Amino acid sequence: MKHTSRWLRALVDMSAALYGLALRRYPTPFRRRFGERMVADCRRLLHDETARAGVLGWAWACARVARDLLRPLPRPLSEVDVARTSQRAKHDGAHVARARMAADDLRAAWRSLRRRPGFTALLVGVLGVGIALNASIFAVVDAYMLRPLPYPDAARLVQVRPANSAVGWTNSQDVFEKAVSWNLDAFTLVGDAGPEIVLGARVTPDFFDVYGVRPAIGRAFRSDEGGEGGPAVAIISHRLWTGRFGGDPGVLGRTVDAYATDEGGGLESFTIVGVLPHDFWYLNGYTDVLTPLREPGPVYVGRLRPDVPPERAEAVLAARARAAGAVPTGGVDVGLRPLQDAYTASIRPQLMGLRMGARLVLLAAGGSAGLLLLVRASGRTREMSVRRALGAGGGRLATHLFGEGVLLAGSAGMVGTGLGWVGLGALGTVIEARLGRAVPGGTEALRLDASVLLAVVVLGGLVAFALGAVSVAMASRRSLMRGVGGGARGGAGSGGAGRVRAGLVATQVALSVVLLSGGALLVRSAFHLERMHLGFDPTRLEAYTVGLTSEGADDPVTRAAFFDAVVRRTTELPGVASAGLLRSVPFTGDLIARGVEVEGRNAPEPLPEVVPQIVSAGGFSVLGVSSLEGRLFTVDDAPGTAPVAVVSASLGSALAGTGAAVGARIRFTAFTMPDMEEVPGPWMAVVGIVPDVADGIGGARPTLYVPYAQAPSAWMDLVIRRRPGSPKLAQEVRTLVRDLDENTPLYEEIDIPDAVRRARAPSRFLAALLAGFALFSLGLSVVGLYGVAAYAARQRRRDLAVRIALGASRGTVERLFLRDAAVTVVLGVAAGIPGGLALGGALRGQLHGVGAYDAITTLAVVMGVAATALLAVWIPARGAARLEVSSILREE
Amino acid sequence: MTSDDTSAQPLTPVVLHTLLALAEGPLHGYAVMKRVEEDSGMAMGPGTVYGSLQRLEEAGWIKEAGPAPGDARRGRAFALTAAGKAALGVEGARLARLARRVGRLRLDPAR
Repeated sequence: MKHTSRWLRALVDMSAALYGLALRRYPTPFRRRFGERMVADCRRLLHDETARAGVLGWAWACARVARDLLRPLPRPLSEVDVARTSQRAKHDGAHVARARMAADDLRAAWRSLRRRPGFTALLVGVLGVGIALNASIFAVVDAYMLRPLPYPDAARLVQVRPANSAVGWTNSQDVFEKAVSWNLDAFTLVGDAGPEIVLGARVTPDFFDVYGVRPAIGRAFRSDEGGEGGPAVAIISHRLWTGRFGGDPGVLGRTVDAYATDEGGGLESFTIVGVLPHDFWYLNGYTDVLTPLREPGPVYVGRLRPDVPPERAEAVLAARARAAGAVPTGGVDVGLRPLQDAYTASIRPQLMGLRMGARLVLLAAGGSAGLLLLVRASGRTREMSVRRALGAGGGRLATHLFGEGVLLAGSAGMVGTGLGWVGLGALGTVIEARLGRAVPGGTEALRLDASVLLAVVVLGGLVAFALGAVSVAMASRRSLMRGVGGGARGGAGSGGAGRVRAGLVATQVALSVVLLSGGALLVRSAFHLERMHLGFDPTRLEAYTVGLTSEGADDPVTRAAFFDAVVRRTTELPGVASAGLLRSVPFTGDLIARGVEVEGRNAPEPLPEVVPQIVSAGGFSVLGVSSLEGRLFTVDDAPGTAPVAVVSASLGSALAGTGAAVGARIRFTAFTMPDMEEVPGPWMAVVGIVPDVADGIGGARPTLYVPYAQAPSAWMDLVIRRRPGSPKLAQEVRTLVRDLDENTPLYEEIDIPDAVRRARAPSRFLAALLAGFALFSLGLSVVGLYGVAAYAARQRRRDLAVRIALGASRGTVERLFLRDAAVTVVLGVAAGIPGGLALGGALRGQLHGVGAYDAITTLAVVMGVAATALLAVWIPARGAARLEVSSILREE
Repeated sequence: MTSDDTSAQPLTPVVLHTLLALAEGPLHGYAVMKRVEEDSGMAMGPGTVYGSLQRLEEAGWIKEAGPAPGDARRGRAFALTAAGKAALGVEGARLARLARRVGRLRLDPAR
């Protein structure tokens, strides 16, 4: 140091400072980590060399550092190098060696993935979303269809259908261990806590044995409590106990007074003998009040004896019913159906549709991951060739590549499970609402449990295998990248990897077509619902279901007087624009259609079943419905005057086939169901026609309106249109009704705009879901196509440059690419169309206002996908056609 | 890649000598540079030194350890991992096999 002159020291300092600036050539992370040390080392080198050989030493050190600066950073060790570590495995025993090799391969795969964090994150993300969706959908399918209903030994529970009076408990004991019959009913509880309507049932005492449930407190019914003259006992739900009874431990022995709605036998007084467990879940939710059934009816649900197989039980019961003459000629034989089946049959197509969509998305995600791996493979060609040249066994190579697949799928599985967890928490209730059937065991039963995780593992395994297989298929080709992307030398897909790649892109395109077809149908359906003409104006409409309960409820005159008063006093409330009565307001749609006939006319086609609607004189104007023809109801349509009716436009046109609608006489036909001996309704003169009013997302059904005054029902919806700016009136209406009859509660409060919105929401949700995935899938195909074309363009720079130099026009070059891509795209689209149609068919039940096989939708999807795909190819092709020919040729 | 296969891809000189330099104990970057220079005459610059240290670390063959003994001011040193030792051993065995084969040719420059 002391030999170093001052100016040499300054030279060293300056050179080191310059080196510090020159470090900018290195990537930031590298510089950030090592920069300081590198400058220090450089200074030390300069210093040491200067101390040793003066200015010559300085110059030599500078040359050394400068040369180093010009060099590229060392490349990652090839996986061949890294894999050599595992050679030590040879010294171990055979299977220790194998295990160690596998571990080494996994480690190597892990490092190779970590080296490309962005790429790896993209793969894991794409696969994770696919797996999350499948996990969620599987959880839903599992909760409804795979997991047994939440009863002990639920497989032995069967539904008898159609219920047949010849199959009663007394003559089916050789088949059923226990059986149950019931009558569902709504009970209006009265007393100090105020009136409250709850859903309950009269059940045969064996109810609890059939479902294998024990009350949480108290006891089940005793077998002698059923039948005529039994004690008036009740078992209440946990909800009712904690709510109305405040969770009182001394609730047993207390009495509860109630009016039953269907069995209008006046006020009944029940002694509470038990409370159901809080987690008891029942198919129909009618469990707030259970009380013994007095007249045992046909068996509805039975628990099969363990030694009786369902087929034999079915044969025995069917034969018995026929022998008893209880099956009408041409009627349906008695059959048994597993209870779970019976519960889920109606939602099965939707569940299957969802599952199919989810699987397609996973396929699309897997296909995209495969494509991404293939595109990346371009960077690994040399590595693979080296490994092969070294004689790396196909097996060893395969384990390494499969190791990557396993890691990717494993990470994706974890990400997917996490996403699925979150998604299911958020979507569980939406899906449940969409399906319209409660999840067996309650919404909390909708969860990612062991079987869902198992499904994730299986899916992940499949994905891992597929990805590994793709990599191996690709790596086992020597002339790996030569044919990739097709091209002048061999056309599309000449090489093996080219074929794999083209196949993957085509699959991707096909999946996009399938998903987009389904998505487009659902979107059109959702739009249809948004724009659907309701036939009434839902703005500021609200409704309250009022069930007259008091002693006089049986008397039509009392009912009419009560509801007249309700309407009159509601109209007087501040904020009310108009009020009226409707048997059931739109979008609460639970009215069952009935058959009708027209007097003296033979319809060329059978008349449709019609919704029996009851409306007060002012009801139409509250809805904003005016007559198309004839008149509406007036106060003159009173009891004792000639019965009249108003028909909806669709019923009107059906009637028109028999002559003029207005003036026709129409009546409800008798019920055709056995055990319901009802006579036909009275003849009614059709006095007017009103526009169709949608009563649900299904649109309008043919409807027959009768005036309330001529058909006074005890249960009506009070429908109110508020004045603009007025708040809701629930409290006022409740007080008003209570003032008129202290035992009459409001059963339900309905906000009609909200009901309309909620009815549309599931369809929007499903449309958004599928459309989202369709676009995601399309995006992936675009990325795939773009990647392939861009890669091909890069690979063939020289070839293209020569062509351009020899006079090929840019158009020619672009066409070259487009021609290659077109084959792939056309194949993909062609393969996708049948799948799209099949998905449409599967979604049929979810579609409104658009057919399952819709030519316009299919055409639009096909054109859209093809155009998008070709655009994705054209961009890199255009770039390739504008190559700077001279610079490329020089560069080579 | 059988055990008597000498055609396996050799380690690059930089990698081999870096591993060799670290085989006797942890060193910091500058010491690696000097050591490799002494062993092989290769005059690496800082970019190559830290570049290959980084790659070796990625491969799991070395790890950044505490300060080199007796040289705390130099910052953290790099040390071989078990995998690194194994890799060096494999390469050594390969070179030994190669040397034996060359030896059998009796091309001893001394004769």
